[in-house]
Amino acid sequence: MLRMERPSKPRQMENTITLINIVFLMLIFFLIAGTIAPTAAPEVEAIKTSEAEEAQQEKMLGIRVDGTMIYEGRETTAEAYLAALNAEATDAGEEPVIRLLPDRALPATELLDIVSTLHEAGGGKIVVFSERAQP
Amino acid sequence: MTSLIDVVFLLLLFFMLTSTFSRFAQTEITPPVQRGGTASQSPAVLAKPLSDGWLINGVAVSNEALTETMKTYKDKGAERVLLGVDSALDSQRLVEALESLRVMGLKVSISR
Repeated sequence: MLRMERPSKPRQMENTITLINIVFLMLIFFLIAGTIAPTAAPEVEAIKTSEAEEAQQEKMLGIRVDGTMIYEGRETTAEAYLAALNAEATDAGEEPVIRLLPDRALPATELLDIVSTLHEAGGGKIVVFSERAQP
Repeated sequence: MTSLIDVVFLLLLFFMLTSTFSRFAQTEITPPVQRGGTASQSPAVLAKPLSDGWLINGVAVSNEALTETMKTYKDKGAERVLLGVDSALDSQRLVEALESLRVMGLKVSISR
């Protein structure tokens, strides 16, 4: 009777250790491969590119199909965005860079209108962000 | 032991749900030049991206033939490209056009 009970215990230990191994491996994979960053604007479908230089995802001004702008989850205007950007850049002591994330279906003329407005309002370098296609 | 698994599972769930795998790229964009504005320093090629293909100096060119066409213009001494944009174009095509011209080492200015 006593003999019957014993063999089951060590087996359970073995199972948990392999389980932890796999879970740890998955954890490390997601830690390294994924980046944690808030999505700039979930309803903006980014432009897809293959040749543009890769860049770190940073604070971007999302532009929806209808031309309205979204920054840090809130709807904004070009002036309000520039003011926020300049304040942040002065705090960090660096040149402000305007990062736009337009919807891919936004008419190009509207995008250029926004670029002109931001340029005239005193913005420096303006870059357009796009999603890089996976190789 | 079980508490360790609990914590690791929680961490795994957190990273699985929060991490994003999309990579971003950036292209510099300059505001469009005004029509009939500054005099050009060197001859510029007029390129107009269409929804499919291009109009290079008024001649229809397919996407595949663009590199070759622009190379012949480059050999003739053209360094700058004037990118014509109209209301039929969307942002996707504009950025595609910008980067495909920049990859060839051309200076691109946008006109409308």
